[in-house]
Amino acid sequence: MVFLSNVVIFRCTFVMKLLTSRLQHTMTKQEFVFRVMPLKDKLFRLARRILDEIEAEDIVQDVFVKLWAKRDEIEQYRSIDAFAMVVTKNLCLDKVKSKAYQNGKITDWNEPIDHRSPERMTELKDDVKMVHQVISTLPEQQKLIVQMRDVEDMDYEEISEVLKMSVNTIRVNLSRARKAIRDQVIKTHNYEYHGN
Amino acid sequence: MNTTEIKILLDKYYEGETSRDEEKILKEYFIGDQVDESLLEHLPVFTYFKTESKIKPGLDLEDKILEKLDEVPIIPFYKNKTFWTYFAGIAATLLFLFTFIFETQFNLKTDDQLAVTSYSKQDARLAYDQTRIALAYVSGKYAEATQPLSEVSKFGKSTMVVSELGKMSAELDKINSNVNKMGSSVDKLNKLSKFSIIVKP
Repeated sequence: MVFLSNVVIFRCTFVMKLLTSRLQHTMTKQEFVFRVMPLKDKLFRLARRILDEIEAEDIVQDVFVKLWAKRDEIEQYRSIDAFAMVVTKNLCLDKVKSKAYQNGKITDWNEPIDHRSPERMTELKDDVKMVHQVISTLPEQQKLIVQMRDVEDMDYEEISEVLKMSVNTIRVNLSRARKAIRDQVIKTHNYEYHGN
Repeated sequence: MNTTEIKILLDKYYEGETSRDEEKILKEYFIGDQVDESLLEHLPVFTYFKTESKIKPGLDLEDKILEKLDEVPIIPFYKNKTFWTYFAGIAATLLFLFTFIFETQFNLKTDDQLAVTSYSKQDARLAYDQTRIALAYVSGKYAEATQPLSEVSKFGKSTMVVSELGKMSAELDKINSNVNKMGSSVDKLNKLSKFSIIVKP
């Protein structure tokens, strides 16, 4: 009897603890918006690396709905950023698969900051556009790695958490992507130079 | 940062071996105006990354997200799966506990009360008689049922008859010895026939 009642008391306290912890940790909408909304630009840029601008905006909306539905799980992750990026990445890759997306679709291109001499600027503009095109022909994983490392300046541990890859694999892929971009830029540059 | 140092960093960069701080140095160098002519080929890449990091979604995206979040239905607690798992757990434990208490505590008490108060001596006598009648009836029926089984005792008698066969073997022994004797007397008769051969001529 004593043993049994102990078991019951233990169980009840455990359940109560769980319920109260749940109540404490469940985010309100304000909290959620406050903590997750700042990520929208970063998530949009990541989605845009794979999809076009309109689809990227749609994906970001879906990501927020998903995150809101899973707000209890968010607490378990080391960073909301990583979790949000995992969801974004998965939704984008799903979309690419479902649509049999044409590889190398080129999105709109923003003009670079204009503080150099105009003749150098036009040349640079073409080269920068080139970089964009080369990246869009890379494999999806490499695109994501370049985006996260070179554009978003994330550390390798965080990237490996998002892509579920080892840090070493990420380094190798990043090196490949960077070299591919460099080689393409140099090649085109030389070609144009000789052409002129 | 001079040009040779930048070149070393660039080599590391393309091998994927630069730290975030080193990449920051590279980015800052290429954003500045003093980019060495020999390094111009690397300029587009870093310019591109810089501009890409500043891209922002449409201004109405935040409103769209908030609108979508409002559309998500709030699930009431009774449709929550985890709630029911916890609830079932508690309910099962309580049920088990209560039945246990009922069996051990409550039931024992009523039994004691019944034994002390409700049975008189007459009741006991009546119960004894009834039981005896019932048992007698059962034993009578039992006896009736065992009657046909008495035939089985005949089986014992028939085995007695079989044991008489033992006597037959003794008789056979006697016959055997008599036959042997007969053999020896036949031998004697044979000897007599030799005698007749001698007598003939």
